[in-house]
Amino acid sequence: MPALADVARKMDQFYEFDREPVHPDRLQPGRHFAGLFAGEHVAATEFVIGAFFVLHGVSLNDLLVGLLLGNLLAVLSWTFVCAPIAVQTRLTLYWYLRKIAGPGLTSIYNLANAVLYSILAGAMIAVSATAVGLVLSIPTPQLTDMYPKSFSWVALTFAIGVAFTILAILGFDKLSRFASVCSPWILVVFVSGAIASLSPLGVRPDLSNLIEIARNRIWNGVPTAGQEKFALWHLVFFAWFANLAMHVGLSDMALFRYARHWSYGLYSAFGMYPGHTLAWLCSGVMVAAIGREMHPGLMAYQALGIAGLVGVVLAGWTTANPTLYRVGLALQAVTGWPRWKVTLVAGLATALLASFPVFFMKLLDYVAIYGLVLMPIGAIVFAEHWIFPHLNLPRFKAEQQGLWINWTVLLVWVGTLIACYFMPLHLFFRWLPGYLLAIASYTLLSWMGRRRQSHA
Amino acid sequence: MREYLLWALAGMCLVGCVASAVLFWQGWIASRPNFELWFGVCTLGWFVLATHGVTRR
Repeated sequence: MPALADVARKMDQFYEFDREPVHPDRLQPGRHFAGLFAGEHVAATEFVIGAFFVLHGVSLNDLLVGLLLGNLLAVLSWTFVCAPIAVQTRLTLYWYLRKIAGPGLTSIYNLANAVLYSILAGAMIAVSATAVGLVLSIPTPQLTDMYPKSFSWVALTFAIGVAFTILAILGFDKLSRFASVCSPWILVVFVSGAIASLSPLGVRPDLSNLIEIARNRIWNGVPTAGQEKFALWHLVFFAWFANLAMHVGLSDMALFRYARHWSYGLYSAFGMYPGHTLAWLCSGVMVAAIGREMHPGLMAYQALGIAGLVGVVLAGWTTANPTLYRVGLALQAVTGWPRWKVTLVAGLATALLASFPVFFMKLLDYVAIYGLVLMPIGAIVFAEHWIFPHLNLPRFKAEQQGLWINWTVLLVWVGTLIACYFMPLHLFFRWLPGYLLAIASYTLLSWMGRRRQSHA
Repeated sequence: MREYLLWALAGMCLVGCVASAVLFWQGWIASRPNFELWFGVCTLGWFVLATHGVTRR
């Protein structure tokens, strides 16, 4: 416990600058949020996700309806779940959760987030490796591969991971400025790549057979061998939970605490519709043009040549770079090492993870698990913020009683995950009953706790 | 004023990238190497102008 107390104290120091609620003169206009969302949601993952929809045998109608509906639900989750709590508290999730769960449990949450983030960064490195590997004639792992099968793939992913890590160590600020320049161009890479792939797919210049080609050659409803068939609800739920940790999981409170009004959550549509709809559609077109092979580098190269390869590498790097920064920040509190050292170690570990094809080839499942693991914390904060005042339940137990760990929160978090594990549902659908279960069980346990105290 | 002009030119480079893909699909840019060249030139234009614009802020 003293070790955890030390970690919590160091984490408090790192996040000290945003401990106080945001001052009204620092609030941002709507265009700020539109720009942030538009830049953040066109990433290397989009090359893989849209392509996987094709490989999972999605039909055109299911895809269009699923993405429109699922992304709308995501936008509404930001607007009605995340933004109102952020605007009312003007705090980050870190500091709000600290009042509810205690500094010890908040540190555990941050470390869990760091580990999950580093695996995601590893997948991004693997995406970039498919582009570099194409130039160096290094074969990309197969869809069913779990472990690396060649030394050359391990060496390649490790080298790219080290390069990304060195760039992250060299200077986050200047590089993040350059990354902001990359984002609009990466969206252009998706759109142009899809347009340039229309000829090889046989789409006539007058678009007369576009729908026919889309139905029969791209989203034809037939899954690739070994891939599970996806239908409408898989798409609705995937689009909804793709950023579950950010909206329902409330980590985007860090952004929306600067919003003038909770309705600024609607600006998330600037990320969802160009990124999670258009880019996914475009990568689907590109993967169909190369014969349904999961190879982001080849997809972009066949469509756009060298610029396509550069696009894949930059997309991987712009996603991995801030991720490595966040991982470094979380781990710095544990080790107490200087930033360069902790980023180096986190980067090397991430580079090793990147060589395992399972994280890249099972990206859809990983995204689901990532959101699922952090979701109960969002549910607990939601219950505490909205439900507790109506039931006259005492709020901020950890802060009021000076607890390191609120054991009720930990019990609900772990219990919800165990319940989700045993749910007889597809992985994509488990988070929603899990979320409701977490809200109900946390409220009930807190109510029972109060009754026990009042009887004592 | 100069900054607006800079960003307008940079934006035109992005439009040029997409336009080159459309022209290639429509057959007005006849060969793939020509398309890749046009796309590459517009890309270069975007990165030079936009990087310049961002560092001026």
